[in-house]
Amino acid sequence: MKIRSLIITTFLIIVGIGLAGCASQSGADNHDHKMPAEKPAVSPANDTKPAVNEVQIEIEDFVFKPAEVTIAPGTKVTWINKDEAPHTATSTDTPQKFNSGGLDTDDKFSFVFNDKGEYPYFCALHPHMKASITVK
Amino acid sequence: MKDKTNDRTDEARAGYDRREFLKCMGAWAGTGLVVAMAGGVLSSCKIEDAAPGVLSFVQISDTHIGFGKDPNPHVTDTLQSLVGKINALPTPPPFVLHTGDLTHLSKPEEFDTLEQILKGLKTDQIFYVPGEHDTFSDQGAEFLKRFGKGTQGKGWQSFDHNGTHYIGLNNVVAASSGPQPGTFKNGGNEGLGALGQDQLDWLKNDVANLSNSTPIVVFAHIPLWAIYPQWGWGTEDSEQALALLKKFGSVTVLNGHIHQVMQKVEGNITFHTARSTAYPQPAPGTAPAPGPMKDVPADRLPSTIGVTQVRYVESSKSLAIVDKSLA
Repeated sequence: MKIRSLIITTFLIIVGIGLAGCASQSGADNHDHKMPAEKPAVSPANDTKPAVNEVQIEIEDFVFKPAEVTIAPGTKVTWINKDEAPHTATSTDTPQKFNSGGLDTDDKFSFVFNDKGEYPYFCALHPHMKASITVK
Repeated sequence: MKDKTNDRTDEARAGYDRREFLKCMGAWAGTGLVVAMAGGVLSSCKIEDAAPGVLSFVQISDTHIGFGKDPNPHVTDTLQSLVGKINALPTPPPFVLHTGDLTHLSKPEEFDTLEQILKGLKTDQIFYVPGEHDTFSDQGAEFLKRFGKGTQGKGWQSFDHNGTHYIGLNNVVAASSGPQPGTFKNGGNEGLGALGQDQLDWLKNDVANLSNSTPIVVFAHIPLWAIYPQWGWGTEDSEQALALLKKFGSVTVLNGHIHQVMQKVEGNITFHTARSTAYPQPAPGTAPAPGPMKDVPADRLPSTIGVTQVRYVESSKSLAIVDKSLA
């Protein structure tokens, strides 16, 4: 079932939305789907070039949700802080690939991942908050 | 000078166990509590019973200038009030320790405001160690520029006062810098505070020539004992630091970070965390995450924030710790 949905999703150029029930939807605005974090963006095995790829990661209760995200190259990832405490999304690579700086409540930060690879990151204010982006 | 704390017999001290201590803490919101260590046992008395004129210093922590939401949209006002309380002490403290998180987001204007308010303190000197909120955006460069005078490395320092040796440690930069290959066992980031090898080497040299009877006071932001590692409330390599201090007869470790009073005695080492002057955080594990307790009613807020006063108890060679809330 999921594989079938994946394939459909790929053709519909939808990234970052729930996979179920998406067969009738298309367009670039679907990143506002009600279940953005339920299933992270998943890149299909065969390469495609989606026109608009966006993923939203919520920071809530000191957790990046979802913590593990796999996306296609060119995907724009937006973090939004839903906590009362400030957080960051800070690359742990050397040299650093991205750094949101301090995000206060409801602040957002976006970064477009063009190159394939693993992108581990954490919150520089709360180092136990760890997560990663996989681009493939 | 004699502190009334010492009038208590050893039996009385021994009988004052941690349960009573905690119960008393709850009952004493507002007026403070004297906690004295003698032979590793806690004892306490009301702050009003402590003799005036005894030399002491004050610890301020987690001022979080720049925070502006519930439960305390007015953190500068509450800090100002606490400065007033410190200035009203019968004997002005010779110095004040700030154990980090001066600011909420490391903004220059937040540092400016903090400096401006603390200029009003009646004391000779303020010693600072950074919290992660002061260093996360630039590895502490701005903090060190403003408050790092006379410090070593990334801001660690020591000084002597009245026969006691004070050690200020930075346990936030090594953690917030992310993995540093070769520094720690799993790439430098266990999610806890960290001191780092450079600082540990410095500490080893710093205490090498001190006599074992020298009282030691360590101050750092993140607790140097594992309070609740799930929330990052501990320091990854604190054991290595504490091993260097085990030879001393009296070690007091003062931390902030967790925005609540907690105490533990382990051998000759007493650990103590201070309240924030800005807002309280939940007790370990009692909330999904360690953020601000935003639902604290306005009339209860003053009892949840405050400062710590540490007093010398001469006859027992120990230190007495007084937590003073704003209420």
